[in-house]
Amino acid sequence: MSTAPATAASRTAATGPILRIQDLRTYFYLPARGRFLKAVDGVSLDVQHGETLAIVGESGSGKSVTMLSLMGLVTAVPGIVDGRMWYRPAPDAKPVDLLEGLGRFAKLKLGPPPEVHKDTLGWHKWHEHGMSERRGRDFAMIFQNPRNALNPYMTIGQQILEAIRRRSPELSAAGAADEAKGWLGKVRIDDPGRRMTDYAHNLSGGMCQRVMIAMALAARPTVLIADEPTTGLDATIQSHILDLMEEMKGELKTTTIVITHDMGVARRLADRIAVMYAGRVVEKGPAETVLELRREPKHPYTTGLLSAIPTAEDIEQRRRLTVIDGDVPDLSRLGTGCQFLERCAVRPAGRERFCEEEPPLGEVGQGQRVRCWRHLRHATEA
Amino acid sequence: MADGPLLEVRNLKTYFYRRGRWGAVRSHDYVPAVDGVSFELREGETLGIVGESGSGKTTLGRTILGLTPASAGSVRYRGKELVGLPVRELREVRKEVQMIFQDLDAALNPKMTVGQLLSEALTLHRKRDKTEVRGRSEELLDLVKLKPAKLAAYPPELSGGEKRRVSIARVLAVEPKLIIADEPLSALDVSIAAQVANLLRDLQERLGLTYLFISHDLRMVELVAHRVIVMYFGQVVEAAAASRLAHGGAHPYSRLLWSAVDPHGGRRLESGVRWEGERAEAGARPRSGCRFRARCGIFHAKGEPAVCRDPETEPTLTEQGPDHRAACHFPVGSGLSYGL
Repeated sequence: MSTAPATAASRTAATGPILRIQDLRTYFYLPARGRFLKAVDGVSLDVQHGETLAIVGESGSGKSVTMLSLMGLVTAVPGIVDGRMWYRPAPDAKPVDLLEGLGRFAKLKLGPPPEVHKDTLGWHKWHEHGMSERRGRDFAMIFQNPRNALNPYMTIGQQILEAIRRRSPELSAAGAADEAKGWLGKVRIDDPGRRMTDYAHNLSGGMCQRVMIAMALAARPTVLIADEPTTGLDATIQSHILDLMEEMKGELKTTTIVITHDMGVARRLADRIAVMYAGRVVEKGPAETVLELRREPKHPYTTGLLSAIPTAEDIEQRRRLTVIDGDVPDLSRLGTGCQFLERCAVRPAGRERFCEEEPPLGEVGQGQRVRCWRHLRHATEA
Repeated sequence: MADGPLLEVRNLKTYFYRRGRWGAVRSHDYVPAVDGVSFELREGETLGIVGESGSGKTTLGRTILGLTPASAGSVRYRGKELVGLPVRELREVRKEVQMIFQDLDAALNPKMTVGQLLSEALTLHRKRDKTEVRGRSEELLDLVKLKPAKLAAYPPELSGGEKRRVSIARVLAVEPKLIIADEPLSALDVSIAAQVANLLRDLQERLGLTYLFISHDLRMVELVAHRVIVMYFGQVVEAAAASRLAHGGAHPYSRLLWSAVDPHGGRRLESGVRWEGERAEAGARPRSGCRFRARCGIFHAKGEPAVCRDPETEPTLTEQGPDHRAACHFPVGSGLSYGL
């Protein structure tokens, strides 16, 4: 799918995906090193109406930048340099090209080393014009650090009202305030009437997180993006937030994209999963297929992420966890070949020559795709 | 003394007092961060301390090390009383008792290289010459599985997992016997947390370390710790073997905590506890009687019995089974509580 030409994709049938990201590349320039940091390097994703997609990977794998690119919130230079993004507001609507005109502002010559010519300021001006309309209306985001994402100078009531007024300006002041209280109640904030006049610093971390969720939901977005919604919270609050998101998913049928490094979170929420590593998708497919540890085929990185969560048996027997050795690679210094090779535990002895070349994200069955030569062998041997 | 516990904490209290306008202590206006905690820690053992944020876990760790002065009670390390010890003598003790701090960015000076950070720790308690420092630094990095090339790196250049390893290496530099690890795995990706958990266990085996492992991640505590104490609002509400609590503790708070554990990671207990988190956050934490009662399902199901409110009958840690104690008037599984 990701290899289909752009024109074909924009002409797909009425029941196409709500979001289609194709070959997105978002780079940052590191002046001190004179190199590009390839935060997102050729990511393609489809999101269907009403589904929950989890993007999983360690920090530094490009999950957040992919979503910030979608929101038009990448401010660093040069930012988005290549790719297409379509958004279909309703199942039968015509898809909108979110990156329309990018070609006029950015020219990318894939390296090595890559050459980028981009009028970043011109692009931002052009892009912001379209995106500011969509943010908080079509797309809303629950940010990773709620305390920093809330405005310290505005009461939480004002901030939720802002989201509501933006969506429905015709609402009366009292009506909007009632709705805001309703949302705070929905995320189980005690005594919403009183809390409306509180500032972010009056709230605990868990409450800030819930206020963020209320704000994002109050906008009634078509697509909700949740960036690590439970990281850094107590287990009790974590499970409460996940319950809440599950509930909202059932109630509002919002299309949701969850970013997380915790396979446990993905398991609770996701219908489909995309695993990211080093700025690219290394595996994607239905949640039940990707999350089943013993089910092959599977990318070794996915296996590693899954086995990092202790199971009941691990604990029972006080087993050592099987882990992926090492750290995520330096995104400004990626070589050619399989990016996971250095940390790969299953690198098959005789097949190393394949690994010198980067594997494609190949179909391995029932909507599942894996970027690993082990499973794409037949394709190359043919 | 050889057979006694390595660390013995008795009725330890740390109160933070509010101060009046001229800095005078207002003796009735205080936060009981640690409120009468007792436990023993044997050599080579790992004791996990769990509880939500604000339950006093970190303050307990800091008080043991004398970083926060204790208000009352006693801390004995190898039989030696630490509470009230002058700073000079405390420093002697800190050769053997060390702390891994939670906040990595605050714990590692960003303007010092890893090599400088390690040599600072290496020469703090002992004179060593340059070549020895260099050699030991490389050994330490090897111990925490980092490459010697990292000696020249500054902390901001390192990933979260690498910073955590450096902070562990720095602690190991003074060759401690007991390490108080305050949330060493939080703020790390799940995959990296698993690496560090393995590392801590390997180090324990190789160096015979004893850990006080403070964490809110129950899955990791179960994996790393031998015994666990559960803290709520400055008090220990349950103490048991790690596996015991995973199969359902006796205190409703323990059950609430474990009910929040990812059900697919194994099991999900019927907690029988009402979600009353907000009420506790809002500051309605009782100062006498059972501290947990506002959030307790049993308390509400039993029609708010007076015994839970009465300051005269505060629940104390009582035997529930072998090596298992809980502080509750109606412990789950004792027949006193409703069908739980």
